[in-house]
Formats: sequence, structure tokens, C-alpha cells
Amino acid sequence: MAEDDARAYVLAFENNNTEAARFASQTAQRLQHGECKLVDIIKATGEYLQNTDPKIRERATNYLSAIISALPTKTLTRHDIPVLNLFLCSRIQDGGAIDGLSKLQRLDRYSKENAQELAQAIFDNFSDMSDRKQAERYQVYMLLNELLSNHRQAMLDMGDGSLLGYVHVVGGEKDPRNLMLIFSMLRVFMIEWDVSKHVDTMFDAVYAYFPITFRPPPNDPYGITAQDLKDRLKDCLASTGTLAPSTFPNLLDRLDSTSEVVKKDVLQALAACASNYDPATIAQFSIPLWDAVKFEVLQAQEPFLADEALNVIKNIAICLSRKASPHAPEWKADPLIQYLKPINKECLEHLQEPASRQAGASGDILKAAASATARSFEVVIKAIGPALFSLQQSSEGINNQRAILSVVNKVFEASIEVYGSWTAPSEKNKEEQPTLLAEFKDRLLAIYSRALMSTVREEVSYRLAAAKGLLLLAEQKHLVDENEIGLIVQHFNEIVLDEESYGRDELKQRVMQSLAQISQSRPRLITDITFPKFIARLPDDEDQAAASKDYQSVLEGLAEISVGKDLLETLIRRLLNKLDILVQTSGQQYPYTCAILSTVYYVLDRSARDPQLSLDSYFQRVVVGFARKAASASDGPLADETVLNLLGRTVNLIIRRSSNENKDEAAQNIYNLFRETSSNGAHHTSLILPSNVLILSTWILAALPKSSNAGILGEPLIPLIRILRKQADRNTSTKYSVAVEQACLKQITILINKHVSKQEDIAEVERFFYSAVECVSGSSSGQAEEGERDWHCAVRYLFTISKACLLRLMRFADQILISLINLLESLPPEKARYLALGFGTLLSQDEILSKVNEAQIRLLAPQRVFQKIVPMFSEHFRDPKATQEQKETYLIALSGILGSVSSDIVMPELPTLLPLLLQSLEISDANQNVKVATLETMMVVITKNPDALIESGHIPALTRRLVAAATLPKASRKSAKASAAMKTNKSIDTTMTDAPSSSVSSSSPKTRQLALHCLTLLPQHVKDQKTPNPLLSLKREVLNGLAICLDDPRRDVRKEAVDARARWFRNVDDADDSDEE
Amino acid sequence: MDNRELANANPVVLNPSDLPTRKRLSASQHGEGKSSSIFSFPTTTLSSDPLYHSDVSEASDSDVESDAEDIDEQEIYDLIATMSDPEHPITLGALAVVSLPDISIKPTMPHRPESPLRTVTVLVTPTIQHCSLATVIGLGVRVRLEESLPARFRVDVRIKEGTHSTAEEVNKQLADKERVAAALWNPTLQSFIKKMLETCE
Repeated sequence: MAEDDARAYVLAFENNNTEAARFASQTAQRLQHGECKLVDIIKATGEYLQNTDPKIRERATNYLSAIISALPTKTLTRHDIPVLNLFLCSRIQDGGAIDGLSKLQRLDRYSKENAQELAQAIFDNFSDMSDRKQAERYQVYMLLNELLSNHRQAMLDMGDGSLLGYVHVVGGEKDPRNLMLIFSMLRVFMIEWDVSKHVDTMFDAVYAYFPITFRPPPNDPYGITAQDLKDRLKDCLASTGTLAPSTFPNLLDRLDSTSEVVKKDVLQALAACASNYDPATIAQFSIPLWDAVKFEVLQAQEPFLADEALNVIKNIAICLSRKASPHAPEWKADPLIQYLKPINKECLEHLQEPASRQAGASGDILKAAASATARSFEVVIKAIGPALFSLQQSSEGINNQRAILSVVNKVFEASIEVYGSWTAPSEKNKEEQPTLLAEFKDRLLAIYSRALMSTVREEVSYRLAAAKGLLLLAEQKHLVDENEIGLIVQHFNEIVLDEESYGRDELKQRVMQSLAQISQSRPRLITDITFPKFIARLPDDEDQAAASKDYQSVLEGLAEISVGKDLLETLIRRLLNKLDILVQTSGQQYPYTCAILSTVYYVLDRSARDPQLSLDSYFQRVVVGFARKAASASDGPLADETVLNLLGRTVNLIIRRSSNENKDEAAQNIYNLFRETSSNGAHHTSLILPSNVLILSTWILAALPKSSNAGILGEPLIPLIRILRKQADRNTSTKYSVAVEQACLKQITILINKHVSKQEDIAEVERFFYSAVECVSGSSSGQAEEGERDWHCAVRYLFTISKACLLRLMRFADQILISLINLLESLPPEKARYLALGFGTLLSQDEILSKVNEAQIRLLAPQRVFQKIVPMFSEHFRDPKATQEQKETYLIALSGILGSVSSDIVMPELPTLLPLLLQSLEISDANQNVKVATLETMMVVITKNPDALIESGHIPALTRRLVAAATLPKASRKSAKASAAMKTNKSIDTTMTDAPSSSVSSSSPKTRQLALHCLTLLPQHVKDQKTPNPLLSLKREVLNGLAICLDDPRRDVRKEAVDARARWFRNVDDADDSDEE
Repeated sequence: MDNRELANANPVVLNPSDLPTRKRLSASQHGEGKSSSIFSFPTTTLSSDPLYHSDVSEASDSDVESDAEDIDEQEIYDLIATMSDPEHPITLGALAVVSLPDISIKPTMPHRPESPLRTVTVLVTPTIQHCSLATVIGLGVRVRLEESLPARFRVDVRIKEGTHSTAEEVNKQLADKERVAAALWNPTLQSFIKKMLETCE
């Protein structure tokens, strides 16, 4: 029976793996149930196991392995395992044996002796694996690794035998996957074995791989990066101090490498060694390490290398602080002090010229050393503290003084790291000792305050350093008291409020940020000192505000410092009180009122980022209070559109964050606006006046949840939509107000998108849509101005409905798009152009119809619209009957859509789009929106998907069009004025038809700038590995074209041209040239 | 690095906040600079809707002559101040190798006022008297300006008087077009200049 299975397996193995596996498990089951014995099986297999054909032997071994793996862990007895082990070890070179052994050694009854036997077998048989495949080697290493983790003691007992055996087997490996495994095994040996007798062997086994130059192939399926290998190797090197006599000299030699990458690897390895080796070892090497590493800071070529070097310096100090206890009597002197002494000395020497480059670097070094531990801070501060003071007194010139303050600031930072800050204690100071800066506190405060307050304002960087230092002093744990921080706050107040603006106002901004920071941890100081000062600066009315003008920065300051809850509430209360007075005045414009409202909104919005926060407390005061006032206002601020929109935005925010009762109350008052003389009988439509109030109603309506049923939302919605439509229309025929029309249309969008839900209502909306289409396509004579205005209004209404339906993907969404595009085709050019503009609104960001307002925006809506519409455009575009005008109309519509969807949606359609986009760049249109939208899309295409561009073969066409779009034609460069005058004639259509498409159309500055930016991006992203750089043949042409742009009248455009030209000069090379770095 | 002997290992460095910038100039010209507001959002929903803006001309974004901004000294300064020193990763501006007062733009032909030709003169101050890299720096500045200025500008780069021991010799080299052109074929110089220009963005 056993013979049958064995034969069956061997026969099946070639053709049918699953079948073979079945035979093996069949045998395993029999073995498990005691139906046969292991001896029988081996006997039965014997014929094949002895075969001279290695293939047959392999199958037989595989058979045994398969049986072992199919067995439960306990089936094989203490007698079976050694037999199998011995047998497989003797056949270890045969295929399948390793597999079987790795299964076998996982069994519980696998003994120590078995493991050692196996290890020895591997050492003997796999001493040279150079001609084996990667996968085979990997299998051996895996088995070694498992032995190491499952049978650690057995390996340890082998002592040097296992150590040398392993090292020998893994030597010469090059594959990254195998190396990952090998490094982790070697690390175990370094840590757990006594390697002192084999330092050279172990070091060579690891260091042979340093530095790692591996570069993963593109699309590497194993995902091993050079950094993974570097990290493992670094851990190996850093694992034991025994290697130090080899590691450090060799690594330091490598530090002279010209490659920045190698230098970085060396420094990181050194830092890892410094933090892992024991202090006694590091003490021996600390001085030579410092002597070598310091150059990387003092003469830093790259900031990142300097940072790595500083890390080494710091880690050495941390290491040496560890063991400098009385228990180490063998040291004559404290190794930490010995290490820091030359550092302090050299840094002080450099600091004698404070403004020099190496003095700045010395500050960094001192910070790194001092921030290591409390002990090292002490050593450093004692050595350099007094010296810094005398230096500060003796140095002349602001630039030197500034440099000294910067160095001292770094010491402050180190102190915070060691001793903790006012908000967070430090891990390094568990005993909460006060910082050693305390000794110098008074002098420091005096010097810094004087530097900040008694220096002319032109000395920006000096004062910036002083302001930074004062904040750092305030932030120290247990250093300055409340009164002293209060003094600092007063200085800061003075700078923000009393000083005249200078330059970029860097100091004011820094100081303002500092106040905001202080406000977070010391709110009381800000409440008492800063807040009243700022509030006092606010003007009382618009006239005063117009005279002072700096209220904006005061308001910004107030908003920034009012971070705590109490301060925030106080601020809003004060601002609302101001508003109460302001809304009663009258005038022409209300910039100050708007500024205050903006501040209220900004502060509320910022605090509303906390999703738990409710704004109910402001409902009565703001929503009810101001809405009521607005309802009765016929002039003054509350009849001003800008003010009302800002108020509406605020009201909207508060309602959204209010209780359901308040939301219901708001719903009752959409049109009534909380008027006390509530005319219950009158229908709400009579309340849609005064018309400006509609703006407020819109914002309230937008804030109400979809589920709301209160007020008019509980009544049939279709009649309301009709009324609103009429209102928008009637408004057109009488006194026209854009605000009223827009408010009506916005309300219609909200109602259709959010609230219409019944089937018959949806059907009604569909009818609305088709009648709107008819209205737009109808041949209503558009000659009279009034007629034209009506028609425009009808278009806007059409897009209002379309947008509301498309965003929620109503069932007739596709028909909407088809109808709109048909209209585009059938209307006369002039009208079609206007219609085309509307496409930009369909998917555009909308403050009213937004996610926060719970609008129904289906996730797939933009994608669906885009995917539907682009092929239609493309088809119409290619239609031979399409006139140039029609093509341009499509491009306008397309650009509107492009401008409002994310690039993820655009990219898949790129093959269809690219030809259209290229055409758009040529469009001879005074309206630059098309080009701007196209160029913005092109920017994304170039950065995110350059391969698609290269494949399309459109690069030369694109580049030439970009250069053309970037260039201002000579004529208009000379007479920019004339062309500007021409543009204001706004006779878009005549310029369109008159100008032949070949004529150069002048681009707006923004267009030119964007086109140049695209040109800047091209060399950076378009690089093809396989073929020669497609830009190379264009280089001369582009450089010549760009030379003209260098003389553009606009500075921003010139800047972009300079950048583009620099890129084309130096980054457009043959592929092999750019590979050298 | 293989060569630790620098011409000037320890130059004095200025803080970027103290370097002249465009905004500071305009602030002194027009009283106060407009600070960007933290509360900037459109005050009405109108502003973004193309259907309401279709017939409004884009006056704000067109080339009205009064908007024309001539190339001035500050612009030249901005072009070269961001270049880095060949020895240190520090900009020429921070090292005060180039400074705003040492840049001038003059008509190339003063007797013909209508001529658009201009001559830019840049005086370079090496960090130390005997700086061996003065020529390279001068050359780099020259290359940068010739790449970045329109053809109607003549570029004149010189070592500032009294700041260098062999200023005359260096100036001769910098003024000699053929020597400049020949120097630019030198691969060592090329890599120096490439490095200097890397920080100009």
C-alpha cells in the first residue's frame, strides 16, 4: 500500500501538483491513524530514494517533505525525528530536502542535537553557494534563520562553531532580499555570541557591504529600498562595542568620501554606534570622532549633513553622560568632561568673530552638546556662559550682536530640551530641577529687552533674534515668573500697536505669533494686558476707522490671541457690541463693519473646527438679533449687500451648529426673519421684501438640514419654487438687482437639491428643466436690451436647475447634459458663447450648495458629468461641419468644466482631451479664462502624468504653443495702452470674427505667467529613460523664444521667464548626462 | 569633501531679514505695504460666477501702461543675490558679495534717450582680499545675468575697487568676451557655475 502511494506521488509530481499533494496527505493520514509506520514508508520510497537520477531522488525527497508538513506536530515520535533528520541531512543537497528539514525543525520534539546536526550539515554542504539561484540561497538562509530563532540555545552551545559556520555560509551574498535576512542574523551573533576573538571576521562580514549602493529596479515587486538595507546594516555595525576598534577608523576614513550619500550613511552609522556602544568604548574614541565630525558642521556643504553630524556629537554626549557615575573608578577623569572640553574650547574660539559662518556653526554644536543631558548642559553652560556675556559686552556692531543673541538663543533651546518647557516636562529631567539659566536670568532679560526695545526699527534681524530669545526665556520651565512674562508681553504689545510698519513687518508678525503662543499657556496675562490694549485701539465708527486704517491689523491680532474659550467669548461679545452701534449708522460704504463681521465669522469658524462645539449661545444674540434688525432696515449697513452676505455667512454657521429647536425656529423664520409683528395670516411670499433681505434668507435656508420639516419646508415646495422663479424674473423687468436674482436662484438650487424628494415633485422639476430649455432655445427676439436681459436670466435659471439636479445625480442627469450640449450647438454664436460660460458653474465650488450645508453632492457626480461630457465635446469638435466659432464655444465650455474638477478625474480622459487642450491654447479670444483653465490643467498634466504627454507625441506642439502664449507680441508690447483701450470696447464677437485665427492674440499677464510656468515644469518632469529627451530638439527654439519674454513689461512674468530659461539651459540634456548624480 | 583648504573658510554672514527686498522698497515708496489679510474670502458669491461676469472687461488683469514695471536695480539684485558662493552653501547676498548699492543700470547711449539699450554694472566684493575664486564668482554673476536679461542689456561685472589684491587682472578677464567664452567651456568652471546657480529659484 505504501509503495502504491509513493509510486503514485512520484508519477503525479511532474504533471499534477495538487494530485501529488493529495497522495502525500493520504499517506500522512494513514501514518497518523497508525495504519502504517514511518519505516514502511521509507522502505517503500527506498527504491526512488536510491535512484541514480537526481530528478527521481528529488521527487522522493519531496514526497517525504510533503508528508512531514501534512502531519500534525505531535505525530512523529522521538525516534522518528532523528531518523528523518539524519536521512534528510545526508541528502541535503537534493531538492526538497531543505524544505523537509525546515518543516521538521519546527516540530516540538525536534531536539537540540538534531538542530546541531542540521546546522553542521548546512555548514558542510553549502560553503559555496555562488552557483546557486537566489531562491535556493534564500531557502537555505531562511532555514538558518529559523534555526537561530527556534533553537537559539543549541546554536549558542556550538559556540564558535555556529558563529564561523554561519558567517562562512552567508559570505559573498549580494541579493538585497537575502541580505536583509543575513544582516538580521549577523546582528544576533554580534549581540549574543562572544565575538571578541573574531572581531576581524565579524567586522569584515558586515562592513564589506558598506556603503550600500543598491538602487531598487523600477517597479520592484519586493519593495526593498536602499534605506531598508542601510538601516539593517547600521544596526549590525552598532550592535556591539567590541567592533569599535575596527568600526570607527574605517567609518571615519569613509567620511572623506566625495559622495554626499556616503557621508550621510557614515554619519548615521556613527550616530547609531554612539548611542548603542557602551560608554567605556565611546570614551576611547570620543575625541577623534569629534575632530573628524566637526568639519561637517563648521564647513558644512549641505545642511542635512550638518544635522547628521550634530546628531553624532549629541549622541556621544548622551552616551558619556550615562556611566559617568562613581562606580567607574577606573577612569582618571570624567569622560564627558574630557569630551566636552575641546568642544567648548574650539567653539569659544570661533565665537570670537560672532558674525562669521563658523561662529554660527559653533552655536549649533554647543546646542547639540548641551541638549544631550542635564549633565552635559551643565558642563557646557559653565564653560561658555560667562564667556558669552563678556563677548556680548565687547563686540561691536549690530551684526555681531545679532549673531551673539542667535547663539544664546540656541542655548535657550537646549535648556528647554533638557529641563522642559512651561507646558511640557522633559524626559531628561525627571527630578524637575530648575534650569541652570536661572543664574543669568536677570542679566539675560535686561540684555534682551534692551535689544528689542531700544534699537532702531531698521535692525530687523537683531530685534527678531531678541524677540525670539524673550519668548524662549518665557517658555523655560520654572525660570521667569508671571510678572516678568507680563513685561515681555508689554514689549510685544508695544511693537504690534505702536510701531510704524516697516519693510515686510517680519518683527510685528513674529511678535504677534509669540503673543498667540503665550495666550495658549498663559491666557491670564493676555487677558489682562494685551486684550484691553487691543480693544482700546478699535475705532468707534466708520469715520474714525477711515482715518486710522490700521484696525485691520488690530482685529487680526485680536483674532490670533483669542484662542482660549474665555478670551474668545469676551472678544465676540465686545465685537458684537461694536456692531450694534455700527449698524445704526448710515453711509455709503462699510469696510469697518465688514471687517468686524469678518472677524466674528473667522473666530467662530475657527472654534467650530472642534466638531463637538455648539454655537447655541450665539443664536439669540446674532441670528435672531441681527436678522430682526435687518428685516426692518431700509438703508444703512444692514441694507448693504456685502454686509448682509457676511452676516448671512455668520448666521449660517451658527444655525448649523445649533440645537434642533433653534434650527426649527430658524426654519419658521426664513422669510419672516424673527419679526415681532409676525403676520401669521399673510403668506410668506408677501414677505420676500425688502428684497435685500433675501440674501439673509438664502443663508438661513442653506443652513437647514435636509430632514427639516418646519415652516415652509413642511409645505409643498413646487409652488415656492415657482414664486421664487417669478421673483427673479419680475426683478428683471422692473428695477434690476443682481443680488435679488441671485438670492432667488440660490434658493431654488437649495430647494431642488436638498428638499425636493417626492416622485411627483421630481417629475415637476424635470418639467421645469425642459421648459427652461425651451425658454433659452426659443426665438424670443433678443434685440431689445430688456429681451436680452430676460434671456440671460433664463440661462442662469437653466443652469441653476441643472446644477441642483446634476449634483444629486437625478435620474435624468444624462438628459440634462445632452440637452445643454444640443443647445450649445443650435444657438447662434453670440448666444452660444454665453451659454458656454455656464458650464463652468455646473461643478464649481459653491458656498451655498456645499457639503457643510448638507447639499446632496454624490461622490461620483463630477466624474459622471465629466466622462459624459468630454466625449460629446470631442465628437462635436471633430465634426467637419463645425465652424471655428462653434469649436471655440466648445472649448470655452470645456475650460469651465476643467477649471472645476479635480485632476484625478481629468487624467483618465487625457487621450481624448489633449488635442482639445492644444487647440484651446490657440484660441483667438479676448476672454482669457479658456487659456487660464487650459494652462492650469496642463500644469497638472505635466507634473502628474508626463508619461502620457510623451506617449501622445504632442510635446513639440505643446511646447511651441506655450512659447507663443507666453510671448507678448511686439506691437502690443509697445502700445500696451492702446490694446487695453481696445479691450474695454468689449466687442468680443467682432474681434472674434475679424481676427483670423492665425493672428497672434495677446495674452494676459496671468496667461503668460502660467504658460511660462508650464515651460519651467517641462524639463523637470519630462524625462524619458528609453528614448532621447524629447525636449532636446526644442532647446534652442525655446531658449530663443524665452529671450523675448525676458523683456516682458510685468515683473512676475519676467521672473517666471528667468526660471524657465535657467531650467532649459541646464536641465535639458541627454538622459545619460543627467544620470551622473 | 576631499579639499578642506578653502580660500575663505570662515566668512561673515548676514541675516536674510536684513537683505534688501522688493516689498521694503515699495513700502518706502508708497507709504504702507498692504498686509495680506487672514480673513480673505470673497465677500459675495457673485465674484466666482462666470454668468454674471461675462461682459465685464478684465481690467485688473490687462497690460495697462501704468502697470509696466521696468527692470530696476532691485530686480538685478534679486537675480544674483540668491546665487550661492562656490565654497559655501550661503548666498552671495548673505555674504555681501553683491549688494544693492553696487548695482547700477544706465542707458548705454546717453546721447540717444529713445534707445532702449541699457548697461548693467555689478560690482562684486570678494569676501577676502586675495580670494582665489573672485573670477569664478564674477563669471557666475555674468552668466546668470546674460541668461536672465533681455538682449538689450549689456552686462558689466567688475570687482569693486580696493576689495581685491588682483582686481585689475580679474576685471580684465571678466571684460574679455573671448576669454569668458573660453572659460565657459572648461568643465571644472562649468560645474562650479552650475553649483552656484542651483539655488536660484
